[in-house]
Amino acid sequence: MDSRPELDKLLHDVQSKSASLKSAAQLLKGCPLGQARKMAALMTKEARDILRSLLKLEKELSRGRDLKA
Amino acid sequence: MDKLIILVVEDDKLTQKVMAQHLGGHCVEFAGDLDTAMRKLAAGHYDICFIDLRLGGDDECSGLQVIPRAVAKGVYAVVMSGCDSEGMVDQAYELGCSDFYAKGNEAANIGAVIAKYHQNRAGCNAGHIFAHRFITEDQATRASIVEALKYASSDLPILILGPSGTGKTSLGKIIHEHSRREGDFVAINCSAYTEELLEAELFGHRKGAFTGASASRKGKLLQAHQGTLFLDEIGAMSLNMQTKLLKAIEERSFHPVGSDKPECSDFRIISATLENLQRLIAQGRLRFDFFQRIHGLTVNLKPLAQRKCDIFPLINFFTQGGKRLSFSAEARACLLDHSWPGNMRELKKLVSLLASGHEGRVTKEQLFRHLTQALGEPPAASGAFVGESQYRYALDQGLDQAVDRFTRGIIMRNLSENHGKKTKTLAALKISTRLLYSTLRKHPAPEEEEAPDGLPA
Repeated sequence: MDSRPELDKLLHDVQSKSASLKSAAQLLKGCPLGQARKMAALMTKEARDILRSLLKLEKELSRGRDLKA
Repeated sequence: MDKLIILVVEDDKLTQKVMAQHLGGHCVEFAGDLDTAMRKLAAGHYDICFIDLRLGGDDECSGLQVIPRAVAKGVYAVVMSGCDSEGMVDQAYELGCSDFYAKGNEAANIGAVIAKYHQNRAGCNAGHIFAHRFITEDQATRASIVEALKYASSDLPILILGPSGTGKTSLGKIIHEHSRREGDFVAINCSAYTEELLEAELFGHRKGAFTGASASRKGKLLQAHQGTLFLDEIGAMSLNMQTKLLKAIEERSFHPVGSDKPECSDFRIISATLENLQRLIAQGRLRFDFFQRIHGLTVNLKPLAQRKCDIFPLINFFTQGGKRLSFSAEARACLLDHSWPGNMRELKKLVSLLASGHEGRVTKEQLFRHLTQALGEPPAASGAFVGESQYRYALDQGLDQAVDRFTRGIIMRNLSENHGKKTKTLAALKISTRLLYSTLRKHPAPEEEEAPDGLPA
């Protein structure tokens, strides 16, 4: 598989999910307890996904695959 | 607030949750993949569709396929995606999406999308307004109003320009009604007050603030809280008052007359005037910074004489539910020929006079009698004696020159109607020979070489 699309996808995932996480964090404060719990659970899963994508990205970069390529 | 039906095409569960929170109060459905989105769009009816471009699967931008489907169904398509490269933005707009937002600022962006959707819908529904509220068939006037309605729900100040009687206040009210603001439409005519009284009217006053202030009174700014403040004849406001109002607009707070306690008010400004504001700025009668504050979108309302296609629709409108009128061919021609210096207000008054009469069929003679009567009334009472062009000329050149030109115009016309017979003109206009000859000396008439008629040269 060509490395560039893979890197782009990873980068997009990080960007997109981070944006979602930020928007969710802004909403969290005003949420009733029940909703806040559900939201926090989804945010935790999102954060794990971001971490997973970041680890893959790091691995790709350490192999010398350049994002500028 | 209208409940909208909204489809959110988004595969990320957390984003779905965020969107659901921001769109609370509307009916929201979700599609987590391309197939579900296409199926829902084919079967359902939606007002707005939010589209994420990456929906998983092999195609990395499968969301793009949703845009044309949504647009074909008349849905307001908005892309909200983490993929916001220039190429992707261009592609999305080419496919017909109405808006493109990068993910991450949903709190502000979703509100903006809903507001814009309502603005566009208000513009599309303008047909009802033209049939029932602001009667016009003039395409340029319609286009100006549709444009203004698109900004109705924003906070943008609107400036309505047009001669007296063209419907400036009516339009201000219509814009307010489409603004979704919860407060009232509060109108004030700035030319109707002295500076001190205008300040008290706008800002309110405390009991005993000035002679006659027997009780505290809420001002127009406070009355317009969460609503619209309509400032009519804005050009008549003094420089001092402009400074005070500018401060109140910028700070959203002000002090009522005689009070140390500031009051806060959130209002939108719509202003109206028949004057040329650029000229007032040049003359030092209008502060430029104040002008900048009240001038967002400008709407020009043409005088009735420049949109004669509206005369008969307006007559129909004014007589709806009451006595209908029929005009002879000559009367119709006379209506179209009249210069309507009082604009719609003058037409409404004429229709009222005609409808109150005994005859439903209106002849040229009847019409002429009423129009002459209207012009024969004292100017202050009719408001129609001085036409827009004369008024503007007087503003430009000064009253003396305007009166001089007016006098000359009447004398020359009468001389022409009397085939140059000065005696007839002297009698018809009840003027002195001195006035006649001084006018002719200053402005020689080309046809004044007439047979001697015994008048002194």
